[in-house]
Amino acid sequence: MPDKNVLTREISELVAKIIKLPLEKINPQANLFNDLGIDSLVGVEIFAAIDKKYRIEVPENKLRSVQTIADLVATVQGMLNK
Amino acid sequence: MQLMTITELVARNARQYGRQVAFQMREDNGYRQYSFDDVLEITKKIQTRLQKLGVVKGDRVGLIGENRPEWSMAWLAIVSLGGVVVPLDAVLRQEEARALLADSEAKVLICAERFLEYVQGTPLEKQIIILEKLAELSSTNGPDNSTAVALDDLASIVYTSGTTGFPKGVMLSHRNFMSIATVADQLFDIGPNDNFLSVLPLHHTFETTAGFLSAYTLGARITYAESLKSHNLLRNMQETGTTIMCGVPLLYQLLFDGINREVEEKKLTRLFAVLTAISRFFIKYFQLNLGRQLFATVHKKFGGKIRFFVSGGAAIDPNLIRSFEAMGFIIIQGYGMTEAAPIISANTLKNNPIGAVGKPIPGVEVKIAGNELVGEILAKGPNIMKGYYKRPEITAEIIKAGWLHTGDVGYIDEKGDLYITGRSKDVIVTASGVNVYPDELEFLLNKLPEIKESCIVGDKVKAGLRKGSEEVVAIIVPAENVSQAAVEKAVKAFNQTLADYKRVARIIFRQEELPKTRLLKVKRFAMRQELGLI
Repeated sequence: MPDKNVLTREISELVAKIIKLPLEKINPQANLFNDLGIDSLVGVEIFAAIDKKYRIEVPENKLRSVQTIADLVATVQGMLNK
Repeated sequence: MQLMTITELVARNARQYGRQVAFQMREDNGYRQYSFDDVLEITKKIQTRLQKLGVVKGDRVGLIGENRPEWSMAWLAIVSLGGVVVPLDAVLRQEEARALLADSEAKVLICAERFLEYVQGTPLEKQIIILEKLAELSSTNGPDNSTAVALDDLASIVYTSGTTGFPKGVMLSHRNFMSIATVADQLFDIGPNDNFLSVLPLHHTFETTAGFLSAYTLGARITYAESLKSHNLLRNMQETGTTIMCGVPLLYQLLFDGINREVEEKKLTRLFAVLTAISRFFIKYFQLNLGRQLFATVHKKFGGKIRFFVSGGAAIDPNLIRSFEAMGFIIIQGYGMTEAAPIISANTLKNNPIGAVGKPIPGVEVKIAGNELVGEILAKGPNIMKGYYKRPEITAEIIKAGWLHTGDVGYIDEKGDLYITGRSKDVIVTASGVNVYPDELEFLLNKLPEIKESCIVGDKVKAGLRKGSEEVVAIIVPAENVSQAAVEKAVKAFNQTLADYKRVARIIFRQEELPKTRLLKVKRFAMRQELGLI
């Protein structure tokens, strides 16, 4: 099972790459929608990248409950643990 | 093709295309499909139910849910019964949706099951048809006492963000929609062999008219994407042989970035750059596009049958169009607004100058205000709305002597192609092609006790994926003795009550009163100048 810190770093890198911002601008507690300017279309793309990397299928309706990178990490960790 | 009402269209299409598939969507085991015959039968069932719920000609019916074949059939059923469909954005919060349903005086709501809670405790609670349960509606020979529907009858009220504090209901008639749907074959040579992939939200008039009604009118097949994840879109394209897709610039940017990432992962960056250079060389010097051959692998990923993509909603970066062009993909850009149902002009397969938004579509006239070379774009034609619902005063401000004053600024070149250079209104257009009207947000923000007054402006995003597009910036004067931290907290909570695209991205604090006109309207332009945003 991947370590939480490793997951946080990997997912932050992945988000940074998709929204084309430097990694240091990605704070795991930042709100994806308010602070990082992500909208639902980009959010779906981030889920798609997560699906590919971890070979899971994060449902799109999770977008309604995920607010931060930390939430994303918890979601992925939960799915990997199953 | 002669203009017909949407009522006539549904019956005509069943006769003409019968068992051909009209709508489909991927399920666990294959695709859930509806033929043109099925569409007629199911719309009759919905209409019978609507009549039982008391709907008569001219009554408004709300419609909310994610894209799916049943959404489109519900839209056709309401409109072809003579009702007026009020499509709502599925990302609206409960309060926002309720306000629009109340304003439109909707008699019935057709919705996806998850929206039932939106009307709990309201008169609509018992006036519901659930999209997931259309199959359970009883069979019927059709609605009773059908009333004749005419081309100029109202078909839909589409709410767009308002410039006066509350969203405006754009009233569109059968003629408005069908005048565009019936010319789509002249512009794009669309027919029964085409397969559309529907990805944009159906309540958005661009998708309603371009991605749904035009395709349906011309006998094409529409596949509703079950997910917007790029790998799912590509799977849909491969499985269904997609030929046409309508999207917004951000979607094409994401698809292009996805291709680039895969190229990097496979360490093919150099090869990709060389092939792109070769392709651009042949396009530039021989007007020959070899992209389809050079990038055959990419085309295969897209299903191999793409004829063209349509981009609308916001201006697309010409470099992005060129990048797709080098790979052998055509992106056609059009221009319009909801008030024009929504297409005013469009490039075509034969005339696709990059940077232009094309010539006016057949039947539509376009001119520049005051006969200037560059100025506000005015449009006139059968697609122009009947007006704003219950708002004759603001209708009179935007439609004068039959000309729609678009608020956009541009020019027409010697070949008759229209170019957009800016906007004369304060509307903020996000990268997803959604309009945000400052007045609406200010109206709501000013109600917060922590805020004395506010001014909303759009500012260009400086970095990242959405670089160059606009984001919502709030200039806020806090109420007396209220700290900036308290305002930030209040705005954060306020953001949670809004659809994502309207959220305040940045706050600029100000202690002095906002500059105002003699009529006490905030001088937005002066604020933008003062902050160096223009």
